Amino acid sequence: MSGPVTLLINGEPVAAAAGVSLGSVLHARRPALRTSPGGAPRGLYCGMGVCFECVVTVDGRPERACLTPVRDGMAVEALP
Amino acid sequence: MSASRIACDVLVVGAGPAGLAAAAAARECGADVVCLDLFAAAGGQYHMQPAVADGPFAAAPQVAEGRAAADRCRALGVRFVLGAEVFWAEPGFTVFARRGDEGLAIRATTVVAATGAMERPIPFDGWTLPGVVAAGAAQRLVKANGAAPGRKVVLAGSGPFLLAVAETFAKAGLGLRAFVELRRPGPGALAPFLRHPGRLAEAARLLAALRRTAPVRLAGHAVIEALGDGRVEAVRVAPVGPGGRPRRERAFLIEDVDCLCVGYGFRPVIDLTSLLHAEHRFDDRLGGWHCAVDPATQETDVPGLFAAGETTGIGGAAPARLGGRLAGLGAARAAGRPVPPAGDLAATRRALEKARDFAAALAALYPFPGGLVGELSPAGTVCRCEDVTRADVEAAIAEGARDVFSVKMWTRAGMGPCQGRVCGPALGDLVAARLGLSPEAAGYNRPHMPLRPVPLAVAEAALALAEPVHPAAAGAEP
Repeated sequence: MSGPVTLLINGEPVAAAAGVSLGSVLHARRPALRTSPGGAPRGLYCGMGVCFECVVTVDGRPERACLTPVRDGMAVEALP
Repeated sequence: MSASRIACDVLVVGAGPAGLAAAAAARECGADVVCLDLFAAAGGQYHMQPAVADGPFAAAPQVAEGRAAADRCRALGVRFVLGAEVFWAEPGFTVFARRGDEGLAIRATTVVAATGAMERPIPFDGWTLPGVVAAGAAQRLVKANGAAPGRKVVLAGSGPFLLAVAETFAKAGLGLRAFVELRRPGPGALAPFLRHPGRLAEAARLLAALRRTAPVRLAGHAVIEALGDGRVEAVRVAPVGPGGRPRRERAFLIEDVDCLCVGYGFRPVIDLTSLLHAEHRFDDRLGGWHCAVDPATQETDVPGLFAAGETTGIGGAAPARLGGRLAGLGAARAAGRPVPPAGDLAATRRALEKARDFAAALAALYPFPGGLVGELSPAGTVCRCEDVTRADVEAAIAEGARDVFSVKMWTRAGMGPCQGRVCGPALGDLVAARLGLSPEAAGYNRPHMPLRPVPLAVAEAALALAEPVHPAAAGAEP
């Protein structure tokens, strides 16, 4: 594994170890990641790509944070 | 959008213990084998590979065994397609998958479904609060990512996997605020080990790790509510009465909590096998709905479709590896490759029977508490994707819904991105209990295109590569 990477979460630079999942970085920061259709806060739940509760916007596209490895310069939009 | 066509004798879907064993066995017979998995590293959940190379799990036996099994497959010439997710399949077989922006159409003579397991959740009040995670998710955070799920963690639910999660916390040097197990240890707890004394050391190791990491251990208790403003902050726990129901009048709060990990065991992932119309049966002891196979060959009732591991009923890694080997040999044979010596097969079948026997004895200690979903309040969420509450489900039943499928039509429960994988089992339990039906009569959600959300352009590109199944139909194309 190479050294730490820096990603942008809601425009704010955040350092993370290379190779870890975006879901683990977001969850450690703040567990609420998105809102349900009814507007309730939701966060990482199954952690293995099945439940889609951790879907956030990564470089403009919806992705499951638990399956997405962090990359340098990745721009992530999640709940503030 | 790019798309690729891949052809092989045997396609193995899933690179966990069962899939890796199947792929190696089929390749040993000379079959051209492709092994596909959703994750970027082979190994599945059991052999999950840590992203952080210097963590406490890098040298763990489960990690090393998984790496060795994948390396062996590579050395044999198995072609891995990793980071790919199946979204559709056609009989005969063409399996369609998405790998990033790429669509894949994989043509295979035979298929081994080794699609593994997922949580079998029991909805409770507040289970949708951020910070409430599945027990498996907590383990993945710690083991694969070197992250702490929280600083003040309650681990709750039932079953042997909770002990494995507690051990993961212990190994990482993380404490647990409390450990809550539904079952009380009884005199029968030793029964599985009388016939399988080799597994006793493992059990003792797990219990020692639990004592080390969780100073507060509550047996015979259940979490009935997670509370908090925007995230979990407290957990309501109640002792369980003799009938298995939590005694609410004696409930108490565990406060100062920032993460609740809950697990009641697993269910087979059956979307691929049910999509291909294999027979499925219900058995609570095997995680509910599972794919039926001929135990001698692991073949389903669909010729050329084999299944192994958790897909055929929850039993853990040992039966998965053995069933995987049988499935791989069977799939190679069905694809026209030479038959291995019969002695090998007989020994593998005996070992599989023994491994299944231990899994069944262990499962008998932790009968699935499906009735707990009855504790959910009317405003409690059943389907997380579509925000469908228990009251919505009950209203649908009152209006005439008579099985899981009709409740879905009435309420949208199971129509969201997870396609009912998360709420399905609880929905089945609610419908069966309310109407006095068998689980078979309550039924389960059938898979639809696409099995998992996929960008339309990727799906289109992959499907365009399908070879026409009926030449006449191809001729009818404009």
